Amino acid sequence: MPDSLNFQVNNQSHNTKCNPGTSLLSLLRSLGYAGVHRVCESGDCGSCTVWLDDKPIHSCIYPAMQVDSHQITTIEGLENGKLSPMQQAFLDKQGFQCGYCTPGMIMTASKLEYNSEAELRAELEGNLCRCTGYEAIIDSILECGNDNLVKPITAKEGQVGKNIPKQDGPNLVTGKPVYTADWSPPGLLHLKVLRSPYPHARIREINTTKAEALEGVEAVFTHKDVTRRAYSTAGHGAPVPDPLDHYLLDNKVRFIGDRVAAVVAETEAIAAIACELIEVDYEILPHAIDPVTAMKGDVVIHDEPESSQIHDAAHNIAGEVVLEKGDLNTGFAEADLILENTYILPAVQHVHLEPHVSISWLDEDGTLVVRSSTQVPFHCQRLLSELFDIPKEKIRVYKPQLGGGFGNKQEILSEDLCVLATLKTGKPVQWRFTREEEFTATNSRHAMNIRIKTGVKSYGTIVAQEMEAISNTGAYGNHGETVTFLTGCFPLGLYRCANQSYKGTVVYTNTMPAGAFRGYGATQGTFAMESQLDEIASKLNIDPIKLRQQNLITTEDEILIGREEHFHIIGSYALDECIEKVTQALDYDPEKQPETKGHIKRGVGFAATMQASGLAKIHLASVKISLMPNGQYELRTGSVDVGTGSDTSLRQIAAEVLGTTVENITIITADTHNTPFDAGSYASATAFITGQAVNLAAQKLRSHLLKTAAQIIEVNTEELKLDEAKISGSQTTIFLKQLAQEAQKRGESLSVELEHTSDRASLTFAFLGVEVEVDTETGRIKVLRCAEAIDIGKAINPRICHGQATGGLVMGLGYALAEELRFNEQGKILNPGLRTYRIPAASDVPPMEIFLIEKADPYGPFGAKGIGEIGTNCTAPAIANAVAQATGVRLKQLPMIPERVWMAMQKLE
Amino acid sequence: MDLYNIETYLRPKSLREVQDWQPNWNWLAGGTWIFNEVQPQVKTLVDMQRLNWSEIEVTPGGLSIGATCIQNDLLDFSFPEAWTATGALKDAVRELASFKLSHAATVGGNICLALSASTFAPVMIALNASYEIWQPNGEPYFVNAIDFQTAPQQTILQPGEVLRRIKVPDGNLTQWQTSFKRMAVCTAGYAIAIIVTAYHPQTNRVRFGIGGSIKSPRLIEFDTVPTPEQIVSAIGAFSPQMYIDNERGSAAYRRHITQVLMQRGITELTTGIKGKRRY
Ligand SMILES: Cc1cc2nc3c(=O)[nH]c(=O)nc-3n(C[C@H](O)[C@H](O)[C@H](O)COP(=O)(O)OP(=O)(O)OC[C@H]3O[C@@H](n4cnc5c(N)ncnc54)[C@H](O)[C@@H]3O)c2cc1C
Ligand code: FES
Ligand code: FES
Repeated sequence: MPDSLNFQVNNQSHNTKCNPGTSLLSLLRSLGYAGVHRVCESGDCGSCTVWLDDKPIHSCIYPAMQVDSHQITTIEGLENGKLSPMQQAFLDKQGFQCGYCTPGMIMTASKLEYNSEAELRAELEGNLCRCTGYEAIIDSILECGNDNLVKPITAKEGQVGKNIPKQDGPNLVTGKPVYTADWSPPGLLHLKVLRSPYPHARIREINTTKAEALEGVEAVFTHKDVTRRAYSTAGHGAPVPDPLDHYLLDNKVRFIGDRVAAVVAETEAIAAIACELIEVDYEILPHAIDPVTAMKGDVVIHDEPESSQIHDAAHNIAGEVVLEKGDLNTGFAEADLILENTYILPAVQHVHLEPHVSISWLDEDGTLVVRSSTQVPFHCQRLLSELFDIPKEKIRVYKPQLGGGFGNKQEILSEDLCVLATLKTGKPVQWRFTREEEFTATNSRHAMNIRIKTGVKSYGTIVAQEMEAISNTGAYGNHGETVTFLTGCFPLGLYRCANQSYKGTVVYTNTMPAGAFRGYGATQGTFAMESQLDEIASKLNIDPIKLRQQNLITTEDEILIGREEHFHIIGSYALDECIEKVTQALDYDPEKQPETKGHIKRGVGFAATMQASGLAKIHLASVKISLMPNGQYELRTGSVDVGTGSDTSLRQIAAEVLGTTVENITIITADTHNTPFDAGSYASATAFITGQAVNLAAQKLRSHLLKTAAQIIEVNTEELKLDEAKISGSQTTIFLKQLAQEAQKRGESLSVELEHTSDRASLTFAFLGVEVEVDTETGRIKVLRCAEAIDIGKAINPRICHGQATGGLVMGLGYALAEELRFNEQGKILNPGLRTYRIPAASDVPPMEIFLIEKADPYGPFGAKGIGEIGTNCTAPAIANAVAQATGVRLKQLPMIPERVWMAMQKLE
Repeated sequence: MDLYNIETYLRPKSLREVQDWQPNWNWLAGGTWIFNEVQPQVKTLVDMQRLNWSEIEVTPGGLSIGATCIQNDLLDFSFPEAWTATGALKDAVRELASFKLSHAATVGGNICLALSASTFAPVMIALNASYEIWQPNGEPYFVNAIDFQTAPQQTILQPGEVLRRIKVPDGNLTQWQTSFKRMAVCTAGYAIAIIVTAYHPQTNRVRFGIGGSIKSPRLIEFDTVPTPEQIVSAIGAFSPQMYIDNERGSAAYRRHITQVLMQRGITELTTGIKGKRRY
């Protein structure tokens, strides 16, 4: 055993031993400093920043053995009776969303020296945030030390439409142990899986003897140990629309990274070493990583008879979407100009900072408990119940604070094997994904090739649109068809045109599966459509803004493509105002020639998009709201706050209706045993659907309270007024506490529970403009500034909505300029880490002007519509259009990395 | 990240304690590289901290930097004013990655790791540095920076050999002006080309340290300020096989960028108009 280490953490002495290969990060977490977050473990993201003798370092790449006789400070050590100035600044300016990057940001920012905002951004190179777009973080740091007295917002002022602080803020800036991996029951075992080194192979034989013999190994599972039952990892409500093509463990592997066997052991280290000891005899099968090759059917990826709901397994077609309207031939015959292009969109990764992690155990009464970082606890519960033949009531799934998801946790990826292991061993088991696993064995956005052929009149009216997408769904079909549906449906639907057709083919390949990702297919389609229209405008010599305005749908239009009746609906519409705001903000002048200065060229570009709020008729939200004996309220909802702040917004809605403040409402969420059903956090649904459920329930509770009070104090209900403390009539008053106690005595419940689905999924619209600079010698694109306007209906909490907009925009910036999973011929991902898969850093982000355009929607709570996803869609096409304006080069492939830009320019010359 | 395979951690106080070097042993300086990747072949880490090799010394002959000198110490050190070229050393630190990495990473660590994207290698070449190598059972010897790295992540170091210190001659520090230019696929991350230009205004001599784009860093020298054509033809002397050609950048693009950055570097130094370090 190694020598013992003597060191101090936050002035507390520690004397401990550890394995010689331990990182300081793991040592600190094992000592209970949970505010040190584990994200990349390669030194790139800064989430694990601590001070070593007062100097910030990345603890994940610091050998624990070197810590001897040093002083460490973690986020937990910053408070000194009160928050440190930097913590206070992050709280005041709300420099966080999910909070996973926050402790590292604060530990870094507290030690920064800079002379300008640009310098500050550059110094933050080693701190990545995926949620905020950095704006709120930079504001926090710049404001540090200034006294920003934040006044609480009173009930009189109202709660909706106000910047009520995200209620989880104090926990997040102090690094409290609130995330899934921060707590576990005693006696925890750890799970690791052996992953396939081949893109396509059958497992002939698998020998686990050596692994099982390793000391500390509890059990090893292979396909021989599980019931063969096909399911989809997608988190959808039943009946699921996805192919049932995935197995707990299978006798076949379909991509490099696919699961082969699972080991459960006392430590992660033992589990990992044991995985290496498993001997597998693979029969290597031919593979296909390109969808077009795969469709020939020479290789069949899902040839197993147990799988179902696959469109055409023999040709590797997981699903197909066909939408039609009018007659294309007639349309094209009328056209003065026909333009046809193919756009190439890469697979990209979500990079939520908190990885997938689940912990499962059996309660005293035999209930299976799953604590998991999930966007869909209820779907997860249902699936587990089906997979293991356990009644739903005997399974409790809940999620603690989430460190981001972006769609990748609308997926059941880690809970299934964890539960298998708990059921087989009877013990608590945790499975935590490494960052490399996140990149190689979860999901990506669907890579697509999109062909569009458009016919227009010379004056700019679109007369025919033919769109075809080949969508690479990877080895499994989760979310494939539904994502690919949106690729065509939204971009085509946005522009009025009598003759349209769309065909989306969802193709299996031997690569990592694609799945749900913010924007859900619309992002890909928007790039293609918005680039296409821009090129048409330039060919016809029409201002691209005019061309859009001429063809955009208006409230008069019905979006009927492929549908008999209204599906997505225009509830409120302010796209025209969005366009006006953005063009004004950028001082857009269609007559102005693009600027050129030596090898630097400048241009502006625009893009429009739309996205629905939730899924009409399908997305179910139930809520329960009660007046408690202490005179305060309790709101129970199954909905999931992924970090966005929805737990705060929902309380704002309830508080507004009940004439109280957010502080008077306790919220309990996303726990299948303690909250009513909610489909979960996806499809931009939480504000629109769960929010409306809360609104309706609160209204009902309000009437109920007034009625009960009227009975007790014997006055007319109409006379009564409800405020934060009491119900009062002209003469008499009853305090809420009294009311609650009186009702309790009478055996009456002061609780309302209801379910809500929306018949409509109102459309949110957005418009974005950018100004870019292109270095024609290197091909580097720099975004100088951008402006985005979102037709949001009503901003329940403007600051939270603003954060969704900036975060989405910057995610789109990564999609535009940098992000791409790169594969070799075997389908192996070549850049599975944050060093080589770069997401935007603070210095990459241009100044952003965000406009939240409020025009109340008739179907959403207080007029609100969804905003979670839409912000991501426009960045890439707007940049591509700006580059085209600046240089004349049209980039049809993302990301627009310098080499591609340069190559395209070479061809032009 | 945690390295599950490591069984032994040695902390020698002198090189003499490190006998019988085994193939699965590895030097550990700051550990920032070792701990950022799985190291399946390594069973023993040999920590260099207690060797106390972290000095920065100004001698009549020039500058001497101990191998385990923490990179950020170069930023804080006050060099003789005449040694204008030390700016390039500071740039190598600033352009590596986060300042937090450089609080723990060593100068020798970056050089011995010998990634093609090394920020120090082209600086050391432009500054005509040489490296003092110690062997477990033999005499120390010197090697020129230019001869040290043979391919990406390959150096002339034999098992057990260790970089002791880096020496930069006074003649390459005094009055030389330098510029550091790099290009990566994204604004941060591994460079696909790094050009360090050293220019002596009195003599007009120019030394380009070239890294990032080629498999091992190289030097291109001129006795007078080169014209764009001279730069193109000097680069033309590199064989196409010398360029790295991979998923981060094609050989053709890397070659093009190499030339653009050389041009920008020398223009900056001769015009005195400071440009960016990153493009
Ligand atoms: C976020 C991040 C970004 C990075 N970006 C870059 C980059 O852009 N360009 C780049 O070049 N590098 C980059 N690196 C790698 C970086 O160069 C190294 O992490 C760092 O310089 C190594 O220093 P160290 O002292 O920590 O070395 P260690 O990690 O301790 O050692 C590195 C290697 O050198 C050997 N070694 C160390 N010292 C000696 C010596 N004196 N004699 C013989 N062998 C020795 C070790 O055995 C080991 O193989 C990056 C690393 C991180 C974490
Ligand atoms: S976890 Fe340490 S830098 Fe990312
Ligand atoms: S708030 Fe920064 S990663 Fe979520």
